[in-house]
Amino acid sequence: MARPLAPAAGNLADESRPARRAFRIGAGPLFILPTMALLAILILYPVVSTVILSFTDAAGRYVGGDNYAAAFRSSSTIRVIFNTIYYVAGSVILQLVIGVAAGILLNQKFRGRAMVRSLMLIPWVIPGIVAAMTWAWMFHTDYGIVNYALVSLGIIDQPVGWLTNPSTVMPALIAVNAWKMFPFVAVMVLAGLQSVPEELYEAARVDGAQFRHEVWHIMLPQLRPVLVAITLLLVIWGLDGITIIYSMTGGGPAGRSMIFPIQIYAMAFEFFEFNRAAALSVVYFLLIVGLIALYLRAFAPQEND
Amino acid sequence: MTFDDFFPAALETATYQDKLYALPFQVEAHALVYNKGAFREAGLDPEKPPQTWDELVVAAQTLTKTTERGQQYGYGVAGGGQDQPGNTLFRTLPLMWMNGGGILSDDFTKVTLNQPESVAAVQFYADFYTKHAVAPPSTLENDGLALRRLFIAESIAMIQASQADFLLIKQGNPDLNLGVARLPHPKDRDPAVILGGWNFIVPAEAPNKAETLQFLQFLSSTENIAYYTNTSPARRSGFDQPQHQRPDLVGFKQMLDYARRQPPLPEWSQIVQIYYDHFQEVLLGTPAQEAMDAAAAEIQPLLEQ
Repeated sequence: MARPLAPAAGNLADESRPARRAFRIGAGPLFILPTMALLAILILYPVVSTVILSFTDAAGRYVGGDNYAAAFRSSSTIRVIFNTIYYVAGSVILQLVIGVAAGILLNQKFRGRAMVRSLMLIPWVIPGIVAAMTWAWMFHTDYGIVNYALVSLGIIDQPVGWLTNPSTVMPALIAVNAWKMFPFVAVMVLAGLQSVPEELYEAARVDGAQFRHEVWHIMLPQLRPVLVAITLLLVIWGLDGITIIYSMTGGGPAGRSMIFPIQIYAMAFEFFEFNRAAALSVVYFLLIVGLIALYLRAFAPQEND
Repeated sequence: MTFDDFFPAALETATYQDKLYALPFQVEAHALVYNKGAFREAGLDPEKPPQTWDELVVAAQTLTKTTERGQQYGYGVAGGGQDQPGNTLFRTLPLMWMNGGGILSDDFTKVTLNQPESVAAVQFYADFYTKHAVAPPSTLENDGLALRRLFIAESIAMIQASQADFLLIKQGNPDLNLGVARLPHPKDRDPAVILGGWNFIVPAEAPNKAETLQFLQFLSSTENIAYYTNTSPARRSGFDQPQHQRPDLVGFKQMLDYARRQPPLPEWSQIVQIYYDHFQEVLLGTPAQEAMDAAAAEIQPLLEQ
């Protein structure tokens, strides 16, 4: 896109003054054109071509809504949507609760605080695939340390198939996802708390505030903008994150932990049904856009605030 | 060049709509691998491995017991893990074939997965885990690799495995006394097995086509095809060569006579995934008929596309 513009600019330079002024006004946007072109190639083109794919068949013929109809006819689609919402909502809530608690705790003064602060980052720093494989072994029915510990302590009599029992598989995966991301929340909360003015605490203490009052009436309200932003990030990462589930259960047993992104991946790269995968992608894209629009409308700071 | 010497199933894998597109080179088939030491310990004759389905169930029940090494299970069932749905397909589709069923009719236009013969085979396989409890509790996490490891660790006494598995087991636990036998079949019927291996294909638009074909001609001579395969040669006469005369591998060679190809359909991988998901439902306790009816209802539209 940038190429045809270069000679045009050259032509303009030869022309009369008014034209030159017009060019000068336009120079700003011209400088961002390479970036815009790059973005168009990397973002706009894939989106448009996905939409086109979703309305055609493998031979490129227009088939209307057939791919969408097929996606919705599949009995698994409803379960996949439910699983995705369950997984993302569960993960985000747990990540926020644990992360905020950890952040507030690590903001207190105690010995070894620097050490604990750095150690806490480990789950976040470990590559996702390594963490997932490790947890998969820890949750293993026969050889996992989780069952070993629980049976040894007498909490359960029989080993539990954490990742193969339909009622425990999603909570187990959510726990792993929460473990993986809570340090991020804690770090952001910690940073947010540094900017809370000391006077607020002092004033509250003069009025006889306890620690829990400080948390509820000072820290959380002051953290609101931070929490709004990181919740959005967590929701986005939750919606497009496949590492943990793909490598721990692959969506099993019998689709009980199948989520939307894995379904799209399988449709495209395991079954080579690119058109149906495109239709699923478009549906998922709209779903995410809708969710985020709702969220921003409800929580983002309004202009007239 | 004539192809009379090649395994018919190997030629079928290279044939599409009555035209031969590839040169079969290496073939392989699963067999029953069992631990002779465990047979002796359990009072079974290690030279008389189970031949029929009923004998397999009895042997698996006898072999399931606590030994000085810990809990030992009779038979390995591939019900989950990473290498899926292929591992489960390779262990269950042959059972359907042996019983006169299959996933699809011979002309690939109808689903036969929910016919009585196929359902009985699925139920037979799942029962090792759900009814007889002679497969480990971790069955829904075990793929072929996990079963091999459990066999090496002497936690499972019999598995269905490939020649490659067999050699790795020997490497992993040289003390084991291994037996290889034909896969058990229903009484008065023949065994069956899925053919594995690979073929050479020369694309129509390849450069140097004549030379490549000449090279393949050279490679496919009895001596060369035998020399360059590390499992079994696609030509029967290749077995006359000394390196394919190992007595411990005879069981695998015998199975090649019962080998059949998988249906050559573009939708096959998707069909297998649907079947696998519903097979896991059977392992979770759904009756095989109900689960396979549901699978058939999902597969049939794919055949009518």
